[in-house]
Amino acid sequence: MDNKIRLSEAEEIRLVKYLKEELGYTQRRISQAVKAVNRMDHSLKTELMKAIATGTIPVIVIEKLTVQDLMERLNMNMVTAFLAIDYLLREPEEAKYILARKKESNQR
Amino acid sequence: MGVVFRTIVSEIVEELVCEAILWLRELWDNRVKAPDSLLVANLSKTDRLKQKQTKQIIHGVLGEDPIQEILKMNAADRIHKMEEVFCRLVECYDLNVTADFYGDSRDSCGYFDGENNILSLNVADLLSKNPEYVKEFLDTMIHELRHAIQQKAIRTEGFWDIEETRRLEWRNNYDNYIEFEVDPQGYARQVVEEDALTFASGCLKGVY
Repeated sequence: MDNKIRLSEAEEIRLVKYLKEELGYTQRRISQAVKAVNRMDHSLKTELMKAIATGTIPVIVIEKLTVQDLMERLNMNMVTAFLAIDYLLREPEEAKYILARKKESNQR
Repeated sequence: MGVVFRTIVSEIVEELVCEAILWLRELWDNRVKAPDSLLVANLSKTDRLKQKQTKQIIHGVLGEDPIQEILKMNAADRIHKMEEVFCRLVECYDLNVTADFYGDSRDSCGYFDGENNILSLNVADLLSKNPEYVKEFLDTMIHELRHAIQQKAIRTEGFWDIEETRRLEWRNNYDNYIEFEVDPQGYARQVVEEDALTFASGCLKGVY
């Protein structure tokens, strides 16, 4: 796992645009998400940027789950689904506990 | 202080299953206990005393084997007993918090609304036939009460003898709170969540 290579300036601009325009993120959420994406495994980061550019979601299976599964079954947006896959890749036990636990939410 | 029943108890007589969570748990044969890597907050002497008192309250209301006791009850009795546990914990923790028990099958367990001091709790897990889900309800209730403690400590100097540095750390975290929906790992690893996970886990160690 390699997370030392950060997003290039151009990639970061594309990601911010996507988070703002496609996901409607606030400034605070954008900076948190960009920080999290920069922390991701490099190959996953590359796949995420490709998916943002093309709209095609790759089939990557980690702990029996794919990005598509997380989007369809758990209603995650694509960026969060990639972050969840990254969490499963680097800290599987911890990620499984967090993902399979009901969420604290203000949504009622 | 009191408990408000948003949902009429008699309406909740069957299990409320969240399909997405059920699917994940079956996929991974999941366990309810938090991994040690998330239980890293430093607890104070007061925290440990309150953890001990929490265990005593749970056993006092639900007996020596709380989960088995709950599993024998119908939905209304489960909610009434949990109301009693909640009221006693709120008194023990010196909080002025109202509970709002509701039930639905979505993947939300509830939340603490610090502005209005209302703790909303989804009773779906409490009504389950699965003991692991009932355990999770108890864990959630204490976890959310810990958030209420954190927020009172931020507002009230000296509350629970919590150190100034810790209060500041909590306040900074709430000002920059990371939601699960934005960054799952960032959410789990932030100070207030690690603290709530550690506190709740210690309260329930040995209870079931």
